[in-house]
Amino acid sequence: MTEQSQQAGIKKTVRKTSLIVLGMCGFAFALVPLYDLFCEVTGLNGKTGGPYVFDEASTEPDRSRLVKVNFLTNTNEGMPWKFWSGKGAVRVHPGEAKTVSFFVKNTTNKTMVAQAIPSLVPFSATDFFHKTECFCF
Amino acid sequence: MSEVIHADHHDDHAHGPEKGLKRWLFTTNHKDIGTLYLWFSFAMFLVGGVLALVIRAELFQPGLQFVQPEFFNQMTTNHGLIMVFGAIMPAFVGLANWLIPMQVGAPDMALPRMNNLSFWILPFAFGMMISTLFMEGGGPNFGWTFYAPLSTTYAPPSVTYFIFAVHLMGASSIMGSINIIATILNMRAPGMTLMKMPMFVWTWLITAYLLIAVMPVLAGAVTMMLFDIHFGTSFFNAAGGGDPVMFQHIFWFFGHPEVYIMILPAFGIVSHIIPAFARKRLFGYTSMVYAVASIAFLSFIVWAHHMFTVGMPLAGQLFFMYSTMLIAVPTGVKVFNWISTMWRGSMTFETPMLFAIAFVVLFTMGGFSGLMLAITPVDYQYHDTYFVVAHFHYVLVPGALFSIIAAVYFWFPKWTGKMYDETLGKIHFWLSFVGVNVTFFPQHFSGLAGMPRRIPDYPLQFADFNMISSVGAFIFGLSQVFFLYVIIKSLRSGAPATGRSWEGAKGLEWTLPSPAPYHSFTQPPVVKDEEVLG
Repeated sequence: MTEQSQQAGIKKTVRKTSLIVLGMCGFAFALVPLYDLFCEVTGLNGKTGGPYVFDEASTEPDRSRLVKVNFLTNTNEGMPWKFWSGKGAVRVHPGEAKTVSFFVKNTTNKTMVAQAIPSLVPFSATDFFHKTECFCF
Repeated sequence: MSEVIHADHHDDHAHGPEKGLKRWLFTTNHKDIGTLYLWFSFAMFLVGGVLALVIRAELFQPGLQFVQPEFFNQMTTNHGLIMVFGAIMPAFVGLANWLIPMQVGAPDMALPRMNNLSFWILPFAFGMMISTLFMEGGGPNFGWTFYAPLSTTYAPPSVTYFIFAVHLMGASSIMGSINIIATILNMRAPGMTLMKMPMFVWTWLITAYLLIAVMPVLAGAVTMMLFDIHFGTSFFNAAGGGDPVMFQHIFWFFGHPEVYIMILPAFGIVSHIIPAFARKRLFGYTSMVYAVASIAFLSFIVWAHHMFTVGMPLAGQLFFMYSTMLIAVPTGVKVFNWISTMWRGSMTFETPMLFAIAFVVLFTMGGFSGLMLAITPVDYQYHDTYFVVAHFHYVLVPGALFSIIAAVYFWFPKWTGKMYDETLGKIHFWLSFVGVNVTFFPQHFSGLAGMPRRIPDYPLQFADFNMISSVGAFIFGLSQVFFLYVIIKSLRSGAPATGRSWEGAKGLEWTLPSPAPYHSFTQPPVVKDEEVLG
């Protein structure tokens, strides 16, 4: 192998390996949306399935069973807003529609933007709950 | 063309190494840089060892004797980080620098200037990290795995230094790896096909690919931490829509290949030493190469076995359990090949061979406890206990570290032109061998009995095992100071070594005189069949 072709080979290897490094940097950050997607598909982390339209006429509630659903509300530490649900818990028949209101109050006199994150436990319940509306204010 | 090479040759001889400090600061010579890496990693090994002895002194008896829990946590964290990133990894890079150009018949590494840079950012990275121990609020105290939110929401203020130190270490490893890949793929002597390469070169080629694949993921993880801490993002914060468990997934996607990064070059070293002292060819060269490649591939799909207890679907637990157990197959191939190499060989037991045989035996024990940990249902019992501590210390101390020490004794005559003192070497071996087992073997029992890792105090029933463990740790620690004495004494007054320092040693590096000339192969050597390992 001559000196030039060796130098050309080294340059080529460096280019290829640098591309792998860049690609893996991108992959590290791509893991974040991939992880979310994975959780949505499997229902891990209390993420419910995609959009769902509730049709009252075609859904027959199961009157023989009663399910209690608790609502817990938390704010991030350092978040001055108040956040609470109208009812702490509801008892529903599976398939029945009930409305629960959630309230937030900005206790500061500044304009603030916040994000609300719904989550469901236990994870095995995610198949039986649907988000019918955006959980936003 | 040949005239040009000839002229270069003369030029090199006229210059040689520079004198004084400048030689080390500005060097682009693979041997100088290899020496720097090796001494740096030895210094870090002693620092990490002192931290380990603080831990063992505190655990000598139940109750708090010497340090407060907060400081104890900094000791465990920094011990792990320094040993992994400061001792084991740079030592292997140092060996790669010294050996790969000589073993493939090249004059130097492919990218000598980058080589200099990748070494010289390391002292700054570790200076930065160790300096946090003296800062207000203390250094990293969240374990070497730095799980969020311990390392984000609840971290000491110095965590930003830690993040940048990890970035620098990553940059150093990536540059080092690119250099190694470029050297191996482009600078082999004519006739050295891939399947004639020495095993150390093969294992490092695969290790370097693992490094460039996972170090960017580690860099990504610490960058997300940095953003969570300073810029209000919520990658790992559930209250903001993130997930702390995702940190564990990203970390172990890096972390599991990382543990093989620390053992594959060791496999290579042992594959040189055992044939040399058994005076036989390496048994099953081809299967050795494929075994290393399979282990490297499997390392990417087993990461969640570190996190069986965080909650994962049954299918996930089964997948990670079976894929983890599958790794025992190629690893078993390697162990049986080493044993078959020794079978009916005319063996002698010089110091490097003693360390290599101890490697095979004790690494296999560490592998078996790893298999026990891979079984999901029992992992619920073993998780985060001293059984895990015993497991990974068995694969890293008598595994990775013993192979590095074996390599130093084996190639010491080639590097320095002097033989080490065989009696002192053997004393060093037996002290280390006894020390390491007295330290770590009892930890299996305390772990199975339920002693959690990373605690400064423990219930009374673990007192005896911990006392034995601490005694062993001090024996092992002091025997490594003795190692330093053996090396310095041999450097000063060792007997002159011949070119082929060991009767059964094979490979291009042994065709050079000892000490190896400053520039190894200015003319590509001829690869003769008797110098091929397999």
